Amino acid sequence: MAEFKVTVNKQEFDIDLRSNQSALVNGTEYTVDLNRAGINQYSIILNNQVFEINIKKDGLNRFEAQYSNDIFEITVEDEKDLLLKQFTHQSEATHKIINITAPMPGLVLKIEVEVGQQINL
Amino acid sequence: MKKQIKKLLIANRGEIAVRVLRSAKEMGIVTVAVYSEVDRLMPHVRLADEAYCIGKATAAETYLQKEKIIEVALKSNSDAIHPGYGFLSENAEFSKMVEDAGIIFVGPPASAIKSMGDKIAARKLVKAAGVPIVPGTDVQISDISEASAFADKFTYPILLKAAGGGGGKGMRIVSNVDELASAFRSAQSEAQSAFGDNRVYVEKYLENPRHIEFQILADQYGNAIHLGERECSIQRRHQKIIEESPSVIITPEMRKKMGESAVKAALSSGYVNAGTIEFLVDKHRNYYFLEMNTRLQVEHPVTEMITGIDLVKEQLRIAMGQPLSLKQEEIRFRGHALECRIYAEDSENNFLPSIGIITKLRSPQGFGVREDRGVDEGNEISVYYDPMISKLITWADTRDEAIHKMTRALKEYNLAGVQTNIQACSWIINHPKFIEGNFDTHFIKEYFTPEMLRNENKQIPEALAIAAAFIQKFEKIEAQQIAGTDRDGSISNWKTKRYENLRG
Repeated sequence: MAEFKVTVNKQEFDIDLRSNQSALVNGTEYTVDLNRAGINQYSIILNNQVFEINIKKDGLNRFEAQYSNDIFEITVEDEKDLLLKQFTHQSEATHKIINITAPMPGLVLKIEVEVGQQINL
Repeated sequence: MKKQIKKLLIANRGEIAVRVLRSAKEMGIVTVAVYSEVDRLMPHVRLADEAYCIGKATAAETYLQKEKIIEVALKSNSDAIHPGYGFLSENAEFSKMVEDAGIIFVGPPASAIKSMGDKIAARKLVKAAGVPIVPGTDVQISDISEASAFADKFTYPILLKAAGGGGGKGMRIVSNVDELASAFRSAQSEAQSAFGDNRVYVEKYLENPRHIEFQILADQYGNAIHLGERECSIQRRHQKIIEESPSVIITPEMRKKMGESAVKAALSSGYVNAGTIEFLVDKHRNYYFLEMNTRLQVEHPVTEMITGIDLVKEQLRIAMGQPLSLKQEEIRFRGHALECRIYAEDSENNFLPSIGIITKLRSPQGFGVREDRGVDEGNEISVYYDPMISKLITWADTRDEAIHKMTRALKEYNLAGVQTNIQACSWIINHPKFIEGNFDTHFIKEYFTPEMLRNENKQIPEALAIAAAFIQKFEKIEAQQIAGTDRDGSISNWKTKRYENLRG
């Protein structure tokens, strides 16, 4: 599994940041030189190609970027995010929750559901 | 009569206020800005020697307030008021009020603004001076039968135009008799709401014309000269976006003839100061007087670049009663200048204004590149005023060189926070028809589609994806640093070395 799955306007990239100067993107190795140039401003040299980008955080793992006149919505998911997503998907798909556990010890006073009842997410 | 201007109030905002202020300062004149509350941090306020707040936000409650502006001029002991363009610049009443208050109006006399502002009166004046005009009715029409009779004589299409003002308001193209009645009604109603004057007249509609205008200067002693033409055919929504000088279709003979007509047209109204005579040129290169703009034009820098004449300084000298310092035969045209108006707008969405705060602004520089700008990084493009950010001008020995220079300069422009027409400008000036010089006022309508601006550099999403991944990783490491430990307890190179570059 890649270190990050990054979605840029629906286009997906599997990214491994191999060192501080290289990244593996969808299986292709890139040399990277990323520097912050101001508030939300970055200069990135990607395989010697220069890009001046404006990018800002827009949520926990979401970014909004502007390059030239185009606006890009970006989502960055790491292994933990992906595992959580996978788990949620699996749960939705299979309905195989066997045990429900409480986050802390306590006394069960009442059960609101019955065995066999469907849970809607 | 010669007078001195020691202090000048600039009754405008944005780039033109900055432009006027700079020339005035170079002449040793103290500058006074007026501003709305929302414009407090704009460059025209911060660069001025004195500044006075004249209201909250809207143009109606600020830059269009004649009395307030004159009151500030008197209070600040200003000798003169420069109106810039737009707002009160072509308001004859304001010009008269300024003169009546004993202040110099840096512009034409009220009588000239009035006669050139009335399109029917202007046509009569220039026709009498021997300047060709588009065939049309010399009086307003009161019903459609008069327009229909005109069309019978000159054939469709015809153009219904408002007598009280320009800018495409109250204007309708009529292709056949069936369209006439509704076009007449809507032209009248639009003219009434735009200019408070529902008079409409008829002109023969010239198909695929080019819009060529001549810059003139006239002093108080009946001397007038022209400073050559500007080609302004590239327009969207009846507004110019790219201008150049000289025009590729104007020969030296045409320039001489049209220039002489421009001077005659200006003198016919007793014009004084800087002004512009607009002509339409048909496919046979016949030219016709369209209208006169009784003010400094937005696109005046292209004339300055090829003549070396500072038009604002000339305006101020004329207003001080000095005679023209140059004769027609002393005017030299050198090289080629191109101007792109940089607007905060969405070119992919019918060029609608884009509002917001400019979070990043780095202007292009280099030999032959000039930028007249009225906003800085951190300023807001608001809903209250025109969304123009700047005028980017390039000058070179040849037209091709000026285009290459502009293409480079547009690429160098780095602006974030609002959308701009920078890509659209670049697309236009590199279009084969533009490069050939083979275009007219319908260029945008005929050739432009939003899809043409889609960025084809496939590496951009990759670059953004990698940047976002690095930033995310850096933030995670920084959070761990704040928490005190890494997962494995070691000190990572990520945080000690490379990511120092990503800190603010």
